[in-house]
Amino acid sequence: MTKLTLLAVEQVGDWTDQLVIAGVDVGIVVITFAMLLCIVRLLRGPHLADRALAVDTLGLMLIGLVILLSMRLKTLMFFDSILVLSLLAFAGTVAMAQYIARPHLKQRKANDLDTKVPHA
Amino acid sequence: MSMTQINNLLAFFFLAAGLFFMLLAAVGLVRMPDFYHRTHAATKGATLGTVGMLVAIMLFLVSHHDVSTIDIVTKAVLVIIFTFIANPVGAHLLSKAAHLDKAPKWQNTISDDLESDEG
Repeated sequence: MTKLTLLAVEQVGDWTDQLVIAGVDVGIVVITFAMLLCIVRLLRGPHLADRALAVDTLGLMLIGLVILLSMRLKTLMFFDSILVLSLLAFAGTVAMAQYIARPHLKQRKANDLDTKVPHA
Repeated sequence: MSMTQINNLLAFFFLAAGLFFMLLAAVGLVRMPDFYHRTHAATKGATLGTVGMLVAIMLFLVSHHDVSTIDIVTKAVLVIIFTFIANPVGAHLLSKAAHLDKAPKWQNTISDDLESDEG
Protein backbone atom coordinates (compact mmCIF):
# COMPACT_ATOMS: atom_id res chain seq x y z
CA MET A 1 0.00 0.00 0.00
CA THR A 2 2.96 2.33 0.21
CA LYS A 3 2.79 2.48 -3.56
CA LEU A 4 -0.04 4.99 -3.40
CA THR A 5 1.74 7.59 -1.30
CA LEU A 6 3.15 10.27 -3.56
CA LEU A 7 6.62 10.26 -2.05
CA ALA A 8 7.19 6.61 -2.91
CA VAL A 9 6.41 7.34 -6.57
CA GLU A 10 9.03 10.06 -6.90
CA GLN A 11 11.82 7.60 -7.52
CA VAL A 12 14.27 8.68 -10.18
CA GLY A 13 13.91 6.86 -13.49
CA ASP A 14 16.01 7.44 -16.58
CA TRP A 15 15.46 10.53 -18.72
CA THR A 16 12.69 9.08 -20.91
CA ASP A 17 10.72 8.20 -17.80
CA GLN A 18 11.12 11.74 -16.52
CA LEU A 19 10.09 13.08 -19.93
CA VAL A 20 6.79 11.18 -19.79
CA ILE A 21 6.19 12.31 -16.21
CA ALA A 22 6.79 15.94 -17.22
CA GLY A 23 4.37 15.45 -20.13
CA VAL A 24 1.78 14.14 -17.71
CA ASP A 25 2.24 17.18 -15.47
CA VAL A 26 1.72 19.52 -18.42
CA GLY A 27 -1.23 17.39 -19.55
CA ILE A 28 -3.10 17.85 -16.28
CA VAL A 29 -3.01 21.61 -16.84
CA VAL A 30 -4.07 21.24 -20.49
CA ILE A 31 -7.02 18.96 -19.66
CA THR A 32 -8.15 21.26 -16.86
CA PHE A 33 -8.13 24.21 -19.27
CA ALA A 34 -10.10 22.17 -21.82
CA MET A 35 -12.64 21.24 -19.14
CA LEU A 36 -13.06 24.94 -18.31
CA LEU A 37 -13.81 25.64 -21.99
CA CYS A 38 -16.39 22.82 -21.94
CA ILE A 39 -18.02 24.35 -18.86
CA VAL A 40 -18.24 27.68 -20.70
CA ARG A 41 -20.21 25.95 -23.45
CA LEU A 42 -22.29 24.10 -20.85
CA LEU A 43 -23.36 27.36 -19.24
CA ARG A 44 -23.82 29.34 -22.48
CA GLY A 45 -25.19 26.76 -24.92
CA PRO A 46 -28.28 28.17 -26.61
CA HIS A 47 -29.86 24.79 -27.36
CA LEU A 48 -30.35 21.83 -25.03
CA ALA A 49 -28.32 19.62 -27.39
CA ASP A 50 -25.34 21.97 -26.98
CA ARG A 51 -25.37 21.34 -23.26
CA ALA A 52 -25.68 17.58 -23.76
CA LEU A 53 -22.71 17.66 -26.12
CA ALA A 54 -20.68 19.66 -23.60
CA VAL A 55 -21.44 17.10 -20.88
CA ASP A 56 -20.43 14.25 -23.21
CA THR A 57 -17.11 15.96 -23.96
CA LEU A 58 -16.61 16.64 -20.25
CA GLY A 59 -17.00 12.92 -19.58
CA LEU A 60 -14.35 12.07 -22.15
CA MET A 61 -12.01 14.62 -20.61
CA LEU A 62 -12.63 13.11 -17.19
CA ILE A 63 -11.47 9.79 -18.68
CA GLY A 64 -8.33 11.57 -19.86
CA LEU A 65 -7.75 12.95 -16.38
CA VAL A 66 -8.06 9.49 -14.82
CA ILE A 67 -5.58 8.16 -17.40
CA LEU A 68 -3.12 10.91 -16.48
CA LEU A 69 -3.55 10.14 -12.79
CA SER A 70 -2.83 6.46 -13.23
CA MET A 71 0.18 7.28 -15.44
CA ARG A 72 1.49 9.56 -12.70
CA LEU A 73 1.02 7.00 -9.94
CA LYS A 74 2.01 4.06 -12.21
CA THR A 75 -0.89 1.92 -11.08
CA LEU A 76 -3.76 0.06 -12.70
CA MET A 77 -6.06 0.65 -9.74
CA PHE A 78 -8.23 3.24 -11.51
CA PHE A 79 -8.46 1.54 -14.87
CA ASP A 80 -11.87 -0.05 -14.29
CA SER A 81 -13.30 3.39 -13.60
CA ILE A 82 -12.30 4.36 -17.16
CA LEU A 83 -14.52 1.58 -18.52
CA VAL A 84 -17.43 2.64 -16.32
CA LEU A 85 -17.00 6.32 -17.20
CA SER A 86 -17.03 5.70 -20.94
CA LEU A 87 -20.17 3.55 -20.61
CA LEU A 88 -21.90 6.20 -18.49
CA ALA A 89 -21.02 9.03 -20.88
CA PHE A 90 -22.48 7.07 -23.80
CA ALA A 91 -25.64 6.17 -21.89
CA GLY A 92 -26.14 9.78 -20.83
CA THR A 93 -25.78 11.04 -24.40
CA VAL A 94 -28.29 8.51 -25.72
CA ALA A 95 -30.74 9.37 -22.95
CA MET A 96 -30.47 13.11 -23.67
CA ALA A 97 -30.95 12.49 -27.39
CA GLN A 98 -34.10 10.48 -26.71
CA TYR A 99 -35.34 13.21 -24.36
CA ILE A 100 -34.87 15.88 -27.04
CA ALA A 101 -36.33 13.85 -29.90
CA ARG A 102 -39.30 12.11 -28.29
CA PRO A 103 -41.99 14.85 -28.55
CA HIS A 104 -41.28 15.22 -32.27
CA LEU A 105 -41.32 11.48 -32.87
CA LYS A 106 -44.64 11.21 -31.05
CA GLN A 107 -46.03 14.05 -33.14
CA ARG A 108 -44.88 12.37 -36.33
CA LYS A 109 -46.44 9.07 -35.32
CA ALA A 110 -49.76 10.78 -34.61
CA ASN A 111 -49.65 12.50 -38.00
CA ASP A 112 -48.95 9.20 -39.74
CA LEU A 113 -51.90 7.56 -38.03
CA ASP A 114 -54.14 10.44 -39.07
CA THR A 115 -53.18 10.20 -42.70
CA LYS A 116 -53.43 6.40 -42.84
CA VAL A 117 -56.90 6.12 -41.32
CA PRO A 118 -58.79 9.14 -42.64
CA HIS A 119 -62.30 8.03 -41.59
CA ALA A 120 -61.51 6.82 -38.11
CA MET B 1 18.51 2.35 -26.60
CA SER B 2 16.68 -0.18 -24.56
CA MET B 3 13.13 -1.38 -25.13
CA THR B 4 11.87 0.58 -22.14
CA GLN B 5 13.23 3.82 -23.51
CA ILE B 6 11.64 3.27 -26.91
CA ASN B 7 8.33 2.50 -25.20
CA ASN B 8 8.60 5.66 -23.14
CA LEU B 9 9.33 7.86 -26.13
CA LEU B 10 6.40 6.38 -28.07
CA ALA B 11 4.19 6.92 -25.01
CA PHE B 12 5.28 10.55 -24.87
CA PHE B 13 4.45 11.02 -28.55
CA PHE B 14 0.97 9.51 -28.21
CA LEU B 15 0.34 11.46 -25.01
CA ALA B 16 1.21 14.73 -26.73
CA ALA B 17 -1.04 13.87 -29.69
CA GLY B 18 -3.93 12.95 -27.40
CA LEU B 19 -3.62 16.13 -25.38
CA PHE B 20 -3.46 18.20 -28.55
CA PHE B 21 -6.67 16.66 -29.88
CA MET B 22 -8.41 17.07 -26.51
CA LEU B 23 -7.55 20.79 -26.47
CA LEU B 24 -8.67 21.09 -30.09
CA ALA B 25 -12.04 19.54 -29.21
CA ALA B 26 -12.60 22.00 -26.37
CA VAL B 27 -11.60 25.02 -28.45
CA GLY B 28 -13.88 23.87 -31.28
CA LEU B 29 -16.70 23.39 -28.80
CA VAL B 30 -16.44 27.03 -27.75
CA ARG B 31 -15.53 28.73 -31.03
CA MET B 32 -17.73 27.04 -33.66
CA PRO B 33 -20.83 28.93 -34.79
CA ASP B 34 -23.68 26.40 -34.50
CA PHE B 35 -24.53 23.04 -33.00
CA TYR B 36 -23.63 20.91 -36.03
CA HIS B 37 -20.19 22.45 -36.35
CA ARG B 38 -19.66 21.94 -32.64
CA THR B 39 -20.56 18.25 -32.84
CA HIS B 40 -18.17 17.89 -35.73
CA ALA B 41 -15.28 19.39 -33.75
CA ALA B 42 -15.97 17.98 -30.31
CA THR B 43 -16.74 14.36 -31.16
CA LYS B 44 -13.85 13.68 -33.49
CA GLY B 45 -11.38 15.58 -31.36
CA ALA B 46 -12.38 13.96 -28.10
CA THR B 47 -12.48 10.46 -29.59
CA LEU B 48 -8.99 10.76 -31.06
CA GLY B 49 -7.71 12.35 -27.87
CA THR B 50 -9.03 9.54 -25.67
CA VAL B 51 -7.63 6.87 -27.97
CA GLY B 52 -4.23 8.56 -28.09
CA MET B 53 -4.01 8.78 -24.32
CA LEU B 54 -5.10 5.15 -23.92
CA VAL B 55 -2.35 4.03 -26.29
CA ALA B 56 0.08 6.18 -24.30
CA ILE B 57 -0.82 4.60 -20.97
CA MET B 58 -0.64 1.14 -22.55
CA LEU B 59 2.89 1.74 -23.83
CA PHE B 60 4.02 3.44 -20.65
CA LEU B 61 2.78 0.89 -18.14
CA VAL B 62 3.73 -2.17 -20.21
CA SER B 63 7.39 -1.49 -19.56
CA HIS B 64 6.76 -0.97 -15.87
CA HIS B 65 7.58 -4.08 -13.92
CA ASP B 66 4.87 -4.32 -11.28
CA VAL B 67 1.91 -4.00 -13.64
CA SER B 68 0.76 -7.15 -15.41
CA THR B 69 0.95 -6.77 -19.20
CA ILE B 70 -2.10 -8.81 -20.18
CA ASP B 71 -4.26 -6.82 -17.77
CA ILE B 72 -3.44 -3.38 -19.13
CA VAL B 73 -3.46 -4.38 -22.79
CA THR B 74 -6.81 -6.16 -22.58
CA LYS B 75 -8.55 -3.33 -20.79
CA ALA B 76 -7.04 -0.59 -22.95
CA VAL B 77 -7.97 -2.34 -26.20
CA LEU B 78 -11.48 -2.92 -24.87
CA VAL B 79 -11.94 0.76 -24.05
CA ILE B 80 -10.45 1.82 -27.40
CA ILE B 81 -12.87 -0.37 -29.37
CA PHE B 82 -15.82 0.77 -27.28
CA THR B 83 -14.90 4.44 -27.69
CA PHE B 84 -14.51 4.08 -31.44
CA ILE B 85 -17.97 2.52 -31.75
CA ALA B 86 -19.99 4.34 -29.11
CA ASN B 87 -18.83 7.91 -29.54
CA PRO B 88 -19.84 8.47 -33.18
CA VAL B 89 -23.14 6.68 -32.53
CA GLY B 90 -23.92 9.01 -29.63
CA ALA B 91 -23.03 12.11 -31.63
CA HIS B 92 -25.17 10.92 -34.56
CA LEU B 93 -28.18 10.34 -32.27
CA LEU B 94 -27.72 13.72 -30.64
CA SER B 95 -27.45 15.66 -33.87
CA LYS B 96 -30.46 13.82 -35.33
CA ALA B 97 -32.46 14.77 -32.25
CA ALA B 98 -31.26 18.37 -32.50
CA HIS B 99 -32.29 18.49 -36.16
CA LEU B 100 -35.75 17.19 -35.26
CA ASP B 101 -35.93 19.89 -32.59
CA LYS B 102 -34.94 22.54 -35.19
CA ALA B 103 -31.71 23.63 -33.55
CA PRO B 104 -30.66 26.99 -35.06
CA LYS B 105 -28.32 26.74 -38.04
CA TRP B 106 -25.42 28.92 -39.03
CA GLN B 107 -26.63 31.90 -41.06
CA ASN B 108 -24.37 31.05 -44.00
CA THR B 109 -25.58 27.44 -44.30
CA ILE B 110 -25.92 26.61 -47.98
CA SER B 111 -28.01 23.42 -48.05
CA ASP B 112 -29.75 21.01 -45.70
CA ASP B 113 -30.36 17.70 -47.43
CA LEU B 114 -32.16 16.06 -44.52
CA GLU B 115 -34.70 18.85 -44.30
CA SER B 116 -35.34 18.92 -48.05
CA ASP B 117 -35.77 15.13 -48.03
CA GLU B 118 -38.41 15.29 -45.35
CA GLY B 119 -40.13 18.07 -47.26
